[in-house]
Amino acid sequence: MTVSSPLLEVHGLTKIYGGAPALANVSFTLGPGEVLGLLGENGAGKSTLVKILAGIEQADLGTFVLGGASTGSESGTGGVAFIHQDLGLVETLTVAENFALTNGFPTRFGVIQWDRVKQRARMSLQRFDIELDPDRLVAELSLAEQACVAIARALDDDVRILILDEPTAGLSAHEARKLFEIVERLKSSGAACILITHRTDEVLTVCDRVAVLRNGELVALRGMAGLVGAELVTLILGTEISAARTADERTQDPNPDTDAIGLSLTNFRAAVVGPIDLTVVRGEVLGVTGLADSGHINLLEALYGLTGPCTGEVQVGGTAYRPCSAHHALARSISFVHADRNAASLAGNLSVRENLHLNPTGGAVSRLDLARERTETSQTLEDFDVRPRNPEAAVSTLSGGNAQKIAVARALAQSPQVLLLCEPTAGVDAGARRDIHAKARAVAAAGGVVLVASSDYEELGELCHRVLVLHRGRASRTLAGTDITTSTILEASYGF
Amino acid sequence: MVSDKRPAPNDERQTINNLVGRYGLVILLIGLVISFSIAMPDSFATVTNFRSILDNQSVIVLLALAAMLPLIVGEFDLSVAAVLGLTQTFSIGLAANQGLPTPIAVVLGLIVGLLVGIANGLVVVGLKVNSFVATLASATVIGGIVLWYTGGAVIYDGVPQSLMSVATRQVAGIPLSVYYAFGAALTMWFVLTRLAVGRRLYAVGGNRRAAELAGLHPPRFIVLAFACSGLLAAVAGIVLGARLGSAQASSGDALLLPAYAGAFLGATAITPGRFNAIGTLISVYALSVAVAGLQQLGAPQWVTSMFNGAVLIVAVAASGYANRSKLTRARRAQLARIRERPDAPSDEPTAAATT
Repeated sequence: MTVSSPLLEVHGLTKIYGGAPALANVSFTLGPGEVLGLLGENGAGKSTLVKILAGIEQADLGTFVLGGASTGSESGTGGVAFIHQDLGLVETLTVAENFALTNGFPTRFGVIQWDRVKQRARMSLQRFDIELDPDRLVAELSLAEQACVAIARALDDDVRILILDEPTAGLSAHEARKLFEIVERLKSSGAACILITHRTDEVLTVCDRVAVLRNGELVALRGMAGLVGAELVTLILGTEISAARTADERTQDPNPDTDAIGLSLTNFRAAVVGPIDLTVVRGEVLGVTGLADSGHINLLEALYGLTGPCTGEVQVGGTAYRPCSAHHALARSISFVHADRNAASLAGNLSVRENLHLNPTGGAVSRLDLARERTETSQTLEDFDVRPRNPEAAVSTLSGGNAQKIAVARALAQSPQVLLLCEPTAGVDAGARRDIHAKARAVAAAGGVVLVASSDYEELGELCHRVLVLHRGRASRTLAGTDITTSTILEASYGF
Repeated sequence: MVSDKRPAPNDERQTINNLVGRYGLVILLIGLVISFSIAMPDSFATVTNFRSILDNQSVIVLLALAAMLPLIVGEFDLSVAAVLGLTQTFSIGLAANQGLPTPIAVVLGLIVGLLVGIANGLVVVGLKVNSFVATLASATVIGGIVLWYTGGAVIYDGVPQSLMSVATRQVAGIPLSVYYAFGAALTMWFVLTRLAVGRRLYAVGGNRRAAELAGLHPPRFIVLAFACSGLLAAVAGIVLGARLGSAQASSGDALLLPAYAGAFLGATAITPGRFNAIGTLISVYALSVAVAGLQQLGAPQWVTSMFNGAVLIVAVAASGYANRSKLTRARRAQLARIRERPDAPSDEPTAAATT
């Protein structure tokens, strides 16, 4: 194989989930011996792309060509090994058995030859200088060893392209380095690797090129020359937060009433978060952020009573509040929008009107006022600029942005005292994002407290008066005003 | 705004599609009645025949409604036919063997059905047993109890006339059993579409987690659905016992499939893609008219089973299709928009050139 012929050519791949594009017209190539970093926020389309390449999903549009031979998204995907974050190993089986599960059991007269099963596993591992007893149970291995087993197993076949999804999640720096030694070895053998990761340092040290996805679109494809970490973050997130612009926008908000405390937490602990002390005044929009495991989403879920028992003191509007259930929270005028609208916010087969009135007010036998529901729904569709303006359309037919507007609109219907928004604009187009932000500001302007848990730094900069950055469940820093920038948030996220 | 300005042929076609989707089953029912009446004016198009179809199917309508309620909240109740058998045996037996007065026998039968329904619901939400398995098991247990009580014999001796007239007495020329079936269907339609509890049941079935986050307590509604399912199955059982004036252990066995066929086929009509009471009522009658007509045309007995089984598959496939086609339309619109968009930015000329 010559250097010039690519191992993988991707042409205009597009995939739609439930009416919204998860991947829109993505094209790139991958050459032999190359490591391509695939970057993007959650929901940017990375996993969709990988699933198509691995043959798990089919593209709606576009094709990809493997090794210049097989064509089309429907045809075989031999030569691609996809190692998912959870590795796909059976923990209750031994290393050797796990190898044989995918690579076949050598048999004689139909009887498994266990010595050859072990021999093969040992040899595959030795190709990468991994010394492991094939008789050990996978459950007994360290995470790094498990990752090595998964990679060695995948490369047993004639694999030309290895796709690694967050391979270093949960690994120590030392273990991660060992893992990347395997990737280096792979490169020198002429195979290629697609590395999905959130860690910018890994991208800078391991990758030859980066592809950045944002909202399903390929927004950048470039070599590593002259690229530094901050630039990478900007590529992933979009534009660098301009303090001047956000300050300008913030001045349009009425000043929070600093005397009236809307929400206060004292020594608050729940599941993975805490202890946290926090005071939010009425009219304030507070951002909560951090790395994936920091607990910023959990904090809001805990306040809504979703994560079980919590300790410490919570006051809403000056009176004590104990989170215990969604029902209880709503009774205290606390509204919540879940991060996953399809799984937890909306019933796809019900209409927009029914979703907005999913839990109608009144007792079980009280009559539904359908006429009022219709006028209210039409008004909401107008207010939030939802297309199409059809109250009876099934929610599953709406695009992601419009569906999210419905989820937010329901949370706003009862004019909440405290509004808890989790990733309110993830996978949402720019227009819907602007509308949702405007509605959140309006709640604050009306004297409510708004908490926004988001890993979208741009959003935090635009929307929030202050940003609470969590690190491993605890407050790392609280940023305000012009201090809210990508770099300060990132620093605080890592606990600096 | 652009889309608002072109309502023309697409919208019109969609409206027609919607109408056919909503009332297709009604049109089918009317069509069947008319064509069989023309084919057999002397035997099919008679008051007696229509009365007998209405009367015969009242039990299936009640049982289909019983099966439909758990389906709305996303659960199966396979014990409805067994509960029918149980309450039929129980009320008839209490009146005939134990000599209890009719009202007490009927009320006790209803209570037993309700209790079995509540027990099913509690097993499903409390022990977190898959409802399919839980109700299959409870159906088997109930079958055993009925066999134990009857010893396998048919109870027909000493059934009081007052109990039989609960279903057979005619008002305006139509037996009471028909009033029960229509009354139950109309009541359920009203409760499900016009009362808050109906919306909540559909919400729990539509997305259990979303319902919970909206402040509902889904287990409560699942138990409620099973409880009402048990009660309706009990009504069906008592009506069947009263109509026949007898009870036997195996009487419910053949009714489970027609009930489910009715519930699933019902989900393709009136509010397509959604289980609903009026659709269920109409589909049970459409199925029975088709079967009755075929039999009167000379089709053998076994056609009924084949017909009901095939209709169940077609109905489930059709209601899934109704839901999917809405999604497909939305996807197509999205794809068209992406096709019109220029290529994604790329500073790699090779990648762009090969596209």
